[in-house]
Amino acid sequence: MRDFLKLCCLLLLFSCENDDFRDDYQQENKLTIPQPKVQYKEGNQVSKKAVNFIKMKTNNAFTITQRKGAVMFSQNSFLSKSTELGIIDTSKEIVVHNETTTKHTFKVISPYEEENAIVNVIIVEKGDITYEYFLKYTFNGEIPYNEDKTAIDFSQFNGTIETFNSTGEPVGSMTIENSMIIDDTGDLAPCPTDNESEPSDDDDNSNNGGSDANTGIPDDPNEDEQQEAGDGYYDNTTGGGEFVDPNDDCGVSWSFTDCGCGPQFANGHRPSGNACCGGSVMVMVDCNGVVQRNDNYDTPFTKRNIIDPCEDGDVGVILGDDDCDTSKEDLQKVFPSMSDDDAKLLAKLINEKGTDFGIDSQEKLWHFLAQAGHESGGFNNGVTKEESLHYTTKSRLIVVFTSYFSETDSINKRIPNSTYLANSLKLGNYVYADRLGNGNEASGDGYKYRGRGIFQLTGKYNYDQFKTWYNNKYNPDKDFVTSPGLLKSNDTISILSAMWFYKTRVLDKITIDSTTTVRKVTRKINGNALAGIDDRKEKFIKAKDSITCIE
Amino acid sequence: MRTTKLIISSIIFILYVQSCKAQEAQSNIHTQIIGTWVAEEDSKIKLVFNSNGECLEYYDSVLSGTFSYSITHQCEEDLDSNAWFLKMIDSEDLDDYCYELYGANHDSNNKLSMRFMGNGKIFVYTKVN
Repeated sequence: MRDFLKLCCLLLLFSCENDDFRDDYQQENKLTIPQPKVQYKEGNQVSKKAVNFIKMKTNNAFTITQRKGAVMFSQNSFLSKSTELGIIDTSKEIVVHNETTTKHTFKVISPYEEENAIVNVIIVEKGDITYEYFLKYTFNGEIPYNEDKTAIDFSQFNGTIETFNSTGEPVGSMTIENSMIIDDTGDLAPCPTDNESEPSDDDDNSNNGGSDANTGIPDDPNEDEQQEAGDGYYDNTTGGGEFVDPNDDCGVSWSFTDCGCGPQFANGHRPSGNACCGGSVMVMVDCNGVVQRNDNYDTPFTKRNIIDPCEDGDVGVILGDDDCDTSKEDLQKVFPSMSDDDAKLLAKLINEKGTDFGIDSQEKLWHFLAQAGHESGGFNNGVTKEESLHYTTKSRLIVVFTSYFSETDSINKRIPNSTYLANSLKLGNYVYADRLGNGNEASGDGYKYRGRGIFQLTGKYNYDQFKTWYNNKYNPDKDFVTSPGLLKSNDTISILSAMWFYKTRVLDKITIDSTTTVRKVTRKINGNALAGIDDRKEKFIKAKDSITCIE
Repeated sequence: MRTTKLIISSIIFILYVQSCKAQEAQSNIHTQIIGTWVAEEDSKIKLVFNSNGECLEYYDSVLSGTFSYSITHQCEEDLDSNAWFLKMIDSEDLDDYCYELYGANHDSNNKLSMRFMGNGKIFVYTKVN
């Protein structure tokens, strides 16, 4: 099934992981820096605030425009058929809670998007401010999926990441090859600009000064100390300071940690004198409070890469149209005894034909597998099945087909003799005559159209219905009325007949969602909601646990 | 005379056809179905047919479904005066289900046998009271 599937991951490549450094910092400064928390949300769980923000910015169009070298919100309807437009998929999001920001990632769906290029909209909540920017991922070659195809391995990312701010301007670009950043310019995660965010009391100050856009902090802190705030930074203490950036860099503040070698040296200070803290540890924190550096003052430092996303935290990535199919291995987790060939075939048909039968959601697939798995005995003996009409005792024939057999009433019924015992042909033609579209006993339809396929398609009428649907959908030459045995001899037809049965008996009649019970589906399939209910439930749970890569 | 022969021939033909069908609809099935039945394939499954047209379904002594039922000679496209069909309507969603009734405590055999018309599966129950 190649539906639009999610593939999400945390963009660890750009995260600020430096465990040693953080541990030291937290231990010595008692400052807690929580790890980002990542959430994947779908449907009603998607943040209303973020969706409303997109709605407001796009005038309810939920579109972006992608011109060459520019990506930004649009207010044009997706129905305008502009090749520049993409629609924002708000049915799912990844939320990353950073130290000072919350970032919502949404996928952009564009029928005209470049191959191996994906655009995400990032909605950033930072205090009272909300703003957006756009990330465009262009992969060189194959997208490096993990083996289970549920996540992308960004350590293997090869390609370019481009950043566009809210006005559509490209503000940064990074090219990575073989896990190495070989080229980077500008910002990967822009901070809000005046015209896209609500004003802040700090804006005036932050726009006045500025650290060097390339280095962030001047090389000589003694020289910095002599300058005024309007010159790009201000130093409000003797033990620390703050840099701001006229180019809207978030800015960096610094301070010196406590020396910890006596009361007289309790407060951090610059290296001076002969005190034990001659080389006090300097802590640099960016505008979001994220530590950028924690080092001995004597160590030469420069600001970390200016496109370091530590400036405002990690961001999730949603890729679309990926290859998140149901795999042979997925099925064998649910049905351990299923053969490789059978699992491979069933997976293939689910992926390629499932949506033809309306199996287009996880819940629908889970229920299908639970029912098919039970009816086939866990696929222990293949994916085909045929009704047994092999009865060996008279008493059983009388008990089951009471209205057809009697040892005493030979006028209205028949004697359960050797004609019918262990003779499926005779028995089927007799007891299934004139039912479900079958002709009379002499027609031979009763046996000819006995139960076949995983769900036991039965009766000429049902075979004919399946034939008509199949002819219209796939192949007009297949005739299951003249060749009903195909439902048993051909594994593909057997599975497809089950999918058709599931469609017509279940999906066309009831809504399948997260609230649908196994009991309800079982009744539609089997006529008795409780037959094998424990096993069906168990298989449903296994399917639910094992197969999550479908929407 | 010729007309009379034709009528007689027709009657004989009809009787012959019915005889060939060799199936008898149990005459007292409406009363014999009333009672409590346990499924052969799983003793946790129990059906209770009441005389007021209500059928209760239990699993492991817990009520799992309530139906209204009727017994007629027709089920969707199938019409047969020599057969009985059990139609059950789920009180929860009004979905209906149809079964061919093969017998209910026929000759006091304490067995209820029916075939689900949806997929042809046969269910056999044993009467417990």
